[in-house]
Formats: sequence, structure tokens, C-alpha cells
Amino acid sequence: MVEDNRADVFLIREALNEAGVNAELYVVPDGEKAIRFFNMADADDNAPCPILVILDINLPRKHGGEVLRQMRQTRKCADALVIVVTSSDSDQDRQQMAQLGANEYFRKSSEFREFMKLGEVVKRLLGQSEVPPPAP
Amino acid sequence: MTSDRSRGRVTRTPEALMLGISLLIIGLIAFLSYRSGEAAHTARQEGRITEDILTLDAALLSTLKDAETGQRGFLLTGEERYLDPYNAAIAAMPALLDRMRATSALRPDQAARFTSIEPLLTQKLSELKSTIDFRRAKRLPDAMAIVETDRGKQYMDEVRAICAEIERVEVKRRDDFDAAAAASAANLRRVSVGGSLILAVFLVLSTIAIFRGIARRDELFRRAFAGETLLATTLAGIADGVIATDADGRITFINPVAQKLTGWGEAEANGSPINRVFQIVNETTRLKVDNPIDKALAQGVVVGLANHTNLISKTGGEVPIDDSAAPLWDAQDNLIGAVIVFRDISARRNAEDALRISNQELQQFVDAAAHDLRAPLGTVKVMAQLLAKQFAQDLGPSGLELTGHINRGLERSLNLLEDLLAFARATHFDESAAKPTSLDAAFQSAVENLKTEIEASGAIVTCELLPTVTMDRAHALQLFQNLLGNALKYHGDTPPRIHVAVRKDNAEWLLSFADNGIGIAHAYIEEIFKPFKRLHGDSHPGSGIGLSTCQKIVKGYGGRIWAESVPGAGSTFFVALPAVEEEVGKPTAAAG
Repeated sequence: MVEDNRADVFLIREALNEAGVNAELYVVPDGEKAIRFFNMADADDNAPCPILVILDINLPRKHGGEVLRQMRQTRKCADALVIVVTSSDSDQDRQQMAQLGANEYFRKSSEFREFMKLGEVVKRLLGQSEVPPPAP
Repeated sequence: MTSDRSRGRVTRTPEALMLGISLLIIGLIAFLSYRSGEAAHTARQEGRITEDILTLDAALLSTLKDAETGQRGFLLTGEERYLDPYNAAIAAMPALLDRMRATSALRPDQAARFTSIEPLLTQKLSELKSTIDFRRAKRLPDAMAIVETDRGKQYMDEVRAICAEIERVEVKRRDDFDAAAAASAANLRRVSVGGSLILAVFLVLSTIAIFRGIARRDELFRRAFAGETLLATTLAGIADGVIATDADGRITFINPVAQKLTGWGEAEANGSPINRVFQIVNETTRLKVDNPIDKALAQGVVVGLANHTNLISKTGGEVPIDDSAAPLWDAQDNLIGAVIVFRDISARRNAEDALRISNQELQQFVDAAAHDLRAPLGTVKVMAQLLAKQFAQDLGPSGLELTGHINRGLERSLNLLEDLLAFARATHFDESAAKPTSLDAAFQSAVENLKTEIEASGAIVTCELLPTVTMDRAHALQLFQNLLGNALKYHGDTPPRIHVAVRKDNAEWLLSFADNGIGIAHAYIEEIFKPFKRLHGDSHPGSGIGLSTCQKIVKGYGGRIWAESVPGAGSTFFVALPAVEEEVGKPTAAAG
């Protein structure tokens, strides 16, 4: 998860728990650190590469779009699933992220019920993935 | 022009008549003067001859009397000295006779009389001589006998009678000539006086006419000069560039502003082809733009210049300009040239650029504010709901009421924020976003977005086939969403029925949004379009800027919005939007 807002990290974790998504979650608080994370995965065979990335757009230091672009260019993590989770509802952001290869766009709702649907979306994406989820 | 010429001819007719009459009068006076002079001359000449004849007549008689006197004295006295008068008379007689003969040649009518005198004279003189001779011979009785015959007296009486007749004829002749001369002179006098009076009148009239003509000419000069000066100073003083050409596109006039903008002086520009002096290019493509004057001359129509055109001055400098060209017609509708008026719009262009940058910055600011304000508020609201759900036991009834208040406060803030953003975005940040937009599509999208509210209230929303207008798609959606949203929100006891209708009214589309809701009191029918004007409290939550946003959008496209309502029965909102017209000179944008 690339997310700078700790409150949002808390809520996203809650949504995943509620949907029963059992995952090892790494949280990176800004765009620059996210890019470094992917580059390290490329450099070190033992370093983990995420199956799915939950990506905010408005991030400190590096924009979410830039993170996505660079990730898609790495050797190891280029094919990771990406779900953009943001409070922006602008058409421009939607189109840009889709062009850069985002698999899903989820708008952070101010409604608890709506927000919690994120868990179901993640679960569905993982289900479609050919890579099996890590054993519990 | 034609009427002026005929007016000129009309005014010249009496002048010509006056001149003719004047010449006639002068000719008549000259003729009569000559005639009168001739008559006087003749009268003088004839008078002299008459005088001679009268003198001759008198001399003849007095000479005869002298001869008789001398004879009588001698007969009585016998003294020779008494014969002196007789002798003098005899001596003078031949000369007198000669003069008589010469004169009779000049007077054929008197010639017979003169001729008849001569034998009488001879006989008289011979009688006198006979008596004198007898007396000298001392034969007085013989002499007396001759005298007593009285023949001498008879001769004398005859001569006297003839002389009197000659005198009478001559005097009559002289009087006749004098009368003729006097009549001629009188004639001349009359004609001279009458003619002079007429000439004097004509002279006065002519002088008046001449002065009037001069005054009129001066007035025309003055007016023409004043008109030219006014025109010249007006065109020179005008803040726009003005160039006029003849029908061949050659410059006939260029005012100081045009000289400054083109860099061409008046002397060098006059007579030059307009395309050399007035060169324009498209601001971005740098391609030469057709000269509007060419089109005005070719088609005889007024031509406006396309936007974003730069004038290239003689020195190579560039100025953004705005202009229009118009053909010039004379009174007979002949195309005699064209005129182009243009102005430097650098200041406006710069202001527009600055405004565009400012608008872009504002747009970015609004977008950033939207995200940065909404995101944390939304998170907190979800947190509050999570708190209420997961810690309901610990919070208890009071705690749950508190989280409910937090939740609703945050919801109000978020709604207000959404509406404020919509209001800000109702501004025309970007002209290029105004494309042909289907209002039908906007209606469908709005209904889709309001699906929850429609289903919750059991509303029936219907719509006629709506037209396409020139509008930003987001604005059209916002307009429909706000108006339909209002109609859904302010419904009465029955489920809302909303109908959207449209009709074409001249150059406008007139849309109407009719509902069966609670309606609006008459006093507030205009108030409702003012920002933050809310008529209801928490029963119908809202920010109070939804209709303001609609008004801002509609006005931005040159339209109008208003409402009509019957409280308790429903409201109808009307939106008038300019119908899309194909604009001349602009490429028609592709539909969609």
C-alpha cells in the first residue's frame, strides 16, 4: 500500500480485514519510497515483490502516476496488479491512471459502507489473478 | 448632379434675356443718335443754302431799288451825281446774276423762278437805261413818257412777287428740315432716357445677381472647406487606423494612426497597392491572411477580420489587430473603393493572456482545494461511522448520539464543499470546452447520478427529445443535476413527477423543468437564485447555492433562467439558451 494518510491506512486495513483478505501488507508513506521499494525488488532476488499494489494518487514527493509508470518498467514487478485508491473523482485522473496500466480505480467514499467495499474489490482482483495467494 | 445643372440653366435664361434687351437698347440708341445727327446735319446744310438764297433775294431787290432810286434822282435833277447808286447797282448786277445761276443749280424746284427773274431784270434795267438816256439827251418828256407807261413798276412788282415766292418756299423748306431734326432729336431723347432707365434697372439686377453668386460661391467654398477640414480632423483624430483605397485597391487616404501602425508615411503610402502597405499574417500559423479590402472590393460586402491576426509593419514589427473593411459606393451605386478600419489590440491580447493564465491557476487551485479538503473530511466521517459500529457497546446511547452528530456535521460540510466546487467550476475557465453538447445525454447522466434519490422517492421523470447546444459537457450535466435534484428534494406528500420539455423560440431553446412539488412562495421566486439563500432548515438539507450555480452556468452562455410557481401545486423552472447557429467565417465544429 502506497498511502501517506495514516487514517486511510487504518481504514483500508479495516476494509481488507472485513472482506477476509489475508495478506502480508507493506505500507510505504510516499512516492519516492515506493519507487525505491520496486527498484530494490529488482536488485535483490530475495526482496519481496507485491502481487497487488494499493496506490494513492496525491502522494508526497512523487505523484502516484509516476510511481505506476516506473513500476511498470521494472523487471520483476512490472506485472503486479494495481488498484488506485483515491479521493479524486476527476475524469482526468481516471483516464491517466488507466493509460498507465492501473487495473482498478476506487474512489474513497465518505460513506462507511461504500468505503468498506474496497475489500471486496481487492478480493475479486486477487481471485482473477493467476498467481495464487500466499498460504496463510 | 443633374438637378444642379438644370437649375443653373434656369437661372441663366433671364440673364441672357437681360443681356439681349440691353444690347438692343444700346443698338437702338446708337442708331437713333446717328439718324438724329444726320437730320441735324442736313438741316444745317440746307439752312445755309436757304440763308444764301434769302440773302441773294434781298440783295437783288435792294440792288434794283438802288438802281431805281438813282434813276429817279437823276430824272428829277439831271445831275450825274444822283446816278451813283444806279451805277453801283449796275456794276453789282452781273455778280448777283452769276450767284443766282449757281444757286438755282442747287435748287431745281426754284430754278424756274430764278430763270423767270432774269428777263424781267433785263427789261427793267433797259427801261431805266432808256429814261436815263432820254434825260441825258435833255428829252425829259420822252423819259417821263416811258415812266408813265408804268411798265417799270410792273417789272418791279413781278420781280418782287417772284422773290417773295422764292423766300416763302425756302423758309418753308428750312422750317421742315428744322422740324425733322427736332423730331429726330426728341425721339433720341425719349429712347435714350427710357433705355437708360431700363439699363440702369438691369445693371442693378445684374449687380445683385453677381453679388449673390459671389456670396453663394463663397459659402460653398467655405462649406466645402469646413467639411473637408472636419473630415480630415475627424479621421486624423480617430484612435483607430483608417486606410481608404480606390476601386483598384490603391491607397487614397491613410490617417496618422494607420501610418504609425503600418510604418508607412502618408506620401509613400498614397497610390501604393493596399497589399504592400497592409500585410497581415495569422498569429500562430504565420501564413499570410487574405486582405479584407480585396474581399470588400470583390464582393461588395462588409468584411470582419478573423481573430488572432497580426499586422506586419514596414520595419518588420508585428502588432495584433482587430479590423473590418467596407466597400465605398458613390451616389450612383458605383463601387469607388473601400475603407479599412483597424486597431492595435496588444493591450487587450495581453489582458486576455493574463486572464487565461489566472483562470488556469484558479482552476488548479480549486482542484487542489477540492481534493485536500474533501479527503480528510471523508476519512474522518468514515472513522466516525466505524467508531459507532465497532464500539457501540462502549459508547452507550449518549456516545452514539455524539458520533451521529459528528457524522451529520461532516456530511453537511462535504455536501457544501461539493456544491461550492460546482459553483466555482460554473465559471468559464476554458472557452474551448464549449462544444456542441447533447442535452439529451446530459439529462440521461443526471438521472443516472440521481438514481438513489429517484428510487427513494418513487419519482417519475420524463423528458422530451432535447437539442444539442454549445456548452461545456460538465456544465450541462451540473445544470440538469441541480434542477432535477431540486425537484426531487422539494416534493410534497405524493411521489414527485418531473417533466422536462423544450421548444424553439426564435433563436433560443426554451427548456422547462416542471414538478408537482411544494412550490415556492411568490416573494422568493427571484431570491432563490442568490447564493446561500435557503428557504428550508434541516427538513430539506442543502447548501443554498445549487440554483446560483445554475444561473451562473446559463448566464455564462448568454442564456436566462427563471422560475414560476404555484405554492402547494408545483414549480416550473425555465432555461433559455441560445440556439446553435452556424457562424459565418468560422469552420463548423464536428458534432459529438
